[in-house]
Amino acid sequence: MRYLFALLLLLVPILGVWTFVEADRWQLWFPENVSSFGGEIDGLFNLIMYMVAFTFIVTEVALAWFVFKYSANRPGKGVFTHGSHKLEMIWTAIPAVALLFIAFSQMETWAKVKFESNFPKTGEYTKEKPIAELWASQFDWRVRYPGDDGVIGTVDDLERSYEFVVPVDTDVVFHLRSRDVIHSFFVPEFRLKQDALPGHTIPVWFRAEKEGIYDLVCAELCGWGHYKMSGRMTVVSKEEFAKRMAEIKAEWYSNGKEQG
Amino acid sequence: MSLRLSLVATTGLALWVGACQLDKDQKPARPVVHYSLSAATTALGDDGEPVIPSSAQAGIEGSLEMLFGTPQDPQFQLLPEWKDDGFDPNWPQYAKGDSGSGEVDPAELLEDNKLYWRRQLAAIDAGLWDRVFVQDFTPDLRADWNDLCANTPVEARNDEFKKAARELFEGYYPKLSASAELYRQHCLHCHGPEGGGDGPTAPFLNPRPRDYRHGTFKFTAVGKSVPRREDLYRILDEGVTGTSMPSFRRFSRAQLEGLVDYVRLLSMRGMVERSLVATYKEEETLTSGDTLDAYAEVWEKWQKADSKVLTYNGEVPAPTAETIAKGRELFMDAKRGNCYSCHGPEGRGDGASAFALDPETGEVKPTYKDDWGNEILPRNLRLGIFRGGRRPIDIYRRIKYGIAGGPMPEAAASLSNDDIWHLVHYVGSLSERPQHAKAADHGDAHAPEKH
Amino acid sequence: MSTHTTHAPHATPHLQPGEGEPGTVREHHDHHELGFLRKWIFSVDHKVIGLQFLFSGLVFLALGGLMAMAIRYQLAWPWRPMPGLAWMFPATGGAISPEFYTMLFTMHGTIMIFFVMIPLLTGAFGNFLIPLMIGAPDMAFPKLNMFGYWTMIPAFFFILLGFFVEGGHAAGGWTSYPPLSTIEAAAPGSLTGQTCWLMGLTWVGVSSMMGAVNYVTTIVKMRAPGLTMMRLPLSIWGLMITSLLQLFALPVLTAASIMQLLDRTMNTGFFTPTNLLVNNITPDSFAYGSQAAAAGGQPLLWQHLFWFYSHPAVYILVLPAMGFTSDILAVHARKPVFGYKPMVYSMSAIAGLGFIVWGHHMFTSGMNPALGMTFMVSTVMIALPSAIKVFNWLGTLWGGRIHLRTPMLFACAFVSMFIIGGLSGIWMAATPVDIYIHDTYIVVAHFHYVVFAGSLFAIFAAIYHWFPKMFGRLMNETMGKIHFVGSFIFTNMTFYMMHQLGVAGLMRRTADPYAYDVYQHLQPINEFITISAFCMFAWQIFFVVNFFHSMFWGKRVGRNPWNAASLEWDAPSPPGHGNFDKQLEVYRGAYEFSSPEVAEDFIPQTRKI
Repeated sequence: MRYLFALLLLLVPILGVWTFVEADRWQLWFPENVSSFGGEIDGLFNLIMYMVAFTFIVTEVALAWFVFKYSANRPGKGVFTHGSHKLEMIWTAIPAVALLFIAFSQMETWAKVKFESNFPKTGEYTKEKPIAELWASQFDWRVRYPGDDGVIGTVDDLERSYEFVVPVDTDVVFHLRSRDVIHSFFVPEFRLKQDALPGHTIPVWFRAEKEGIYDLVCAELCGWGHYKMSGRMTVVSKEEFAKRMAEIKAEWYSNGKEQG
Repeated sequence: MSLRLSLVATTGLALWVGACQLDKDQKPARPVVHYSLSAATTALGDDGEPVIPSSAQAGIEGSLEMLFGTPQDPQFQLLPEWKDDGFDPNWPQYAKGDSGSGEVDPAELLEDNKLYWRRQLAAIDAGLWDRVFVQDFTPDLRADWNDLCANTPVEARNDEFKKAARELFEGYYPKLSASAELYRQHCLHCHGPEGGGDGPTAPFLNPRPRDYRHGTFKFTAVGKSVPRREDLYRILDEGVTGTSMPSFRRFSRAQLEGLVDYVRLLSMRGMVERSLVATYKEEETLTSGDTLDAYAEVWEKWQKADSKVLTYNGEVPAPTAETIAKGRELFMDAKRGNCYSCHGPEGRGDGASAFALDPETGEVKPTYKDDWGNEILPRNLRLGIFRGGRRPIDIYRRIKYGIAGGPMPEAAASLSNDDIWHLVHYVGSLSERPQHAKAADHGDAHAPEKH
Repeated sequence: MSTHTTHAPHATPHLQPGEGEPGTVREHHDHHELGFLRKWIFSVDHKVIGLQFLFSGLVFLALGGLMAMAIRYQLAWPWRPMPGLAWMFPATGGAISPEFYTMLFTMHGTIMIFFVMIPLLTGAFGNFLIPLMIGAPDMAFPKLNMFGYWTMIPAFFFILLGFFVEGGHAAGGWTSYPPLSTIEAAAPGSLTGQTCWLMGLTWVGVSSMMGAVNYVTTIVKMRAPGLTMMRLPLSIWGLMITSLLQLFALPVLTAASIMQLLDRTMNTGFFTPTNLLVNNITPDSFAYGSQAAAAGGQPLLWQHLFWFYSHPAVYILVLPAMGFTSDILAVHARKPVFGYKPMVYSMSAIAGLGFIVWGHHMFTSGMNPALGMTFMVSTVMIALPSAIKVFNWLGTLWGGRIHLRTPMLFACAFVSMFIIGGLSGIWMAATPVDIYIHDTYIVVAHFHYVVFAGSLFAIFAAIYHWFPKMFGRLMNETMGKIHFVGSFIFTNMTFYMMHQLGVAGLMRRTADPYAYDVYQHLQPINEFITISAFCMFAWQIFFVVNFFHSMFWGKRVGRNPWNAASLEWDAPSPPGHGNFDKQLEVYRGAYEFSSPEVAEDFIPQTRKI
């Protein structure tokens, strides 16, 4: 009997680790990272994962081993002990240090991504002069680029639904806003998530380092159509970006002769 | 006990493995959806009897099925005159000589398909066959791909196979039945199986989802005519902001064109139904000739849609303080613009004539109802939300040609094009935010929170 | 007869249950047989009330489980006819609607947390075990205890009523974030369902409050002579700390629910910002069709208040389970609990730290990111007492004489699963990592490992372990083992791969994720999970059959079938009214197993040497 149950308990770490090792092959791992800070986030994830995996394997194997070894079939009584002060100290101090190490190792990246004091200040786009406003509402994303006056919230704003076009290798700051309920801006490839809070304007920054088309996902339940609320993040070269903006503008001022 | 235990556990695991091994086709089948007649057709008269006797209703239902098929197998019946010019709306991407149905540029489709199926194409190129994932809502492509794979074992998949596979994805254009399946998964729960705007989610939406069966679509470039393909495509592509209709650009161009095909079918089906009901009420009988006539008539309307497009000849002027001021004057001018009477002097959609006192209940109610019988309010222009689009040309069309199906009228003849542009600029400026501070105004709750 | 109907005649007839001295002896057990109603329905006996909680909890467990199956079905085969529910959706040919899906997962979460786990852990076992394990004849306030269950009845009523109102039940997630939940136009479930939800929750809160007051008073005041706090079994410690958590945290949730209720019904605006436009309604405008409600509120306020309760609630869901596990491990491993005091201190530390970690649910919410850092440190540190507990459990097993009976197997599984759930929590605590994994399936995996594979397994362990005390009969071992093996395998097959889904970025709460490019390849893995979940659900038939069969036809046992040392095993099985039939005097802690002092391998707490 104990063979069976010890084996069951032992299967947990074995299969558990195996699925993580194989996950990449099954396409069950991080999507490709394209943002400047995404690599750090993946690194931190992996750092925690290795520390956690070590603990996981040690404790789970110990559990299975004890269940196997200290069976009631053994003659005599069990070890009569109420604990060990020394051991308690050891297994309090070591995890404490490890956990504090984890906590402090995270702070820099967190501050880099979210602290407004660390937002780009010199580039083309800043907190005061964002590339666009991204409006979330049930159940779509709309992007408002400034018109010729360079200011958002005026009559010449250019508005597009669904697709947010940004230039590559540029520090991009945009304002995230919601019209109705809480939504969340999430681009898996950017490793970036930020809730859009009604009544607030939340500046967000990122720097995309690879051109491409990425899904923009709503990550906070926003009603029955939550699953429908998709968008697209299009990262293009700087020249292409200028071209795309010109196209958007041309379409905006179309006289209806072209399609649409 | 160990033996019993392992026996039962093995049985359980075997069950599980069996369930996983079930063939894809044996997994839950797609549901069967039915078209039914509209409430207007099946309505009861004052005497409690159906206005149209059930035998005639059955006749209408039969005719509609003959003309348009079923949700599982939707198809247009071919009219005799189409035989000669080779027009077949069941293959819309190859449609020729049908201005209303328009032609979809194959090169554009190809480009878009390459983009949309980029993951699948990359997997094909790399020979990673298990990564070629075909979604559930493209059943025809899925079947084709499975066929292709079934015919060629993995080791025999050479460049030729890759080429054939690429062509499958790059040249994909959904069959009507596949579009109906996409519609079922992503549109039906609001718009209903017949496009009646009465799916299970519909009662909770404001405004209600569009009922296609009138053939009236509000936000088009064709005034009050039935829409062109482009108009329907634009709605799918952009969504209708301020409503629950999101943008569906997540699907490929071909899939959206396919949805347009299917929406056209549903809309025509509804129009033919309405036409047959009207004929029956008039003549108290229906012949197969009536059915075909109604069908041909409806088709004619849709084919002519392209010629109804409303454009502006000239360059769209940019807004200035001056044009905005002029627009304001027109907005408040009772003789010319007269916008304020409904939209209110501040554009908040609270004009006096939009509301009326119900003499019986003493309640204030909206004056107007739209063609579908829903109460309708003038747009609050201060929100900056324009369902038909916020582009100048969109607002221009709304002002100049009115909105189909609703009380928004065409502009008075005394308004020149320039006047209308002034109004467009003024209306656009109503939702401007004060720029000196991010402080409160419409749609702009408070100053951003300090972080 | 009529003069004596209220209580059994005792040696001191004026003494009401609970008023006696600690360890009071009830000498006469020839009391009247109470009628069925008085005995099983309007009972003030803690054991019966415990069973009432147990049975209603198990019924809701089945209901919540069915909902989970419906959710899994939709995720594996979206928009296919839903077995059993297809009749509700004729227009779609039987496929559920998206708002129905949002309702399903909202109510699955709500029911499982507030109507299954909390009532089972604190209501059922709290009631049943506390007086027995501390040697008291009943709770300190038996009538309050009865009301504690009876206030659950309106909660059941409202939570079930919600399914039948227009628009269906609440659909704003179990967290009910405003404005989605407060504004009626925002979601079908926010029409009336959300009000039912809030009423239901408020009543659960009232019930928990009555229970918590009672538990704390009973444990502090009614322990048998000689039973000092540091001789208490760890189950009692777990329940006591849980009760304290409830006492301090629940008022906040109750206040928050009442605020939300006011927002919904009285047009206040605690959580509603100005100038929203939800489904074309601006709640605070005077325009036609709007509510002219107050506004200027703050949606984040709800999140703070809600999580101020609901994070401690997570520990409410696990602390009693930890206590049960400690007891069961010690009894069946025939070893004293390793590091009893560190166990008590770490439970207290979890409870204390539990109050300052709520912000880790809000890292991406728009809360000040500097706060996020603080919450990260406190959250990471809360892993420490959990780690200490795991090491102590392993220490308890080490060198023992382990009897692998069903309760022991479930308790070992609890340890194994809690390790997984606890460790994956560290990812969530780390703010930068949480930016990515927040609201993905890795979170779903995490809390199902803690609450389902953890706490529910501990509940199964507790049911198997204390069943003899409840009904005087043993549950069938073979059936129990079969139940365990299948549950353990299928639970892991169901939840483990969710970690990888989360790493792949799959969002929670999406009715059909596969229309997103990034998620479309995840369908087969979801199918795997769904089939495993179905098997796991079906497997519980072994438990149901075993439970009811053993209740009536199980093997009869005496007072102490496990040779356990704690006080409840000194009472008859099942204990009569007043619990104990002899004078209790406690001489030692509850875990004197394998002591060299005596020939047997255990010394009951009451045995004087």
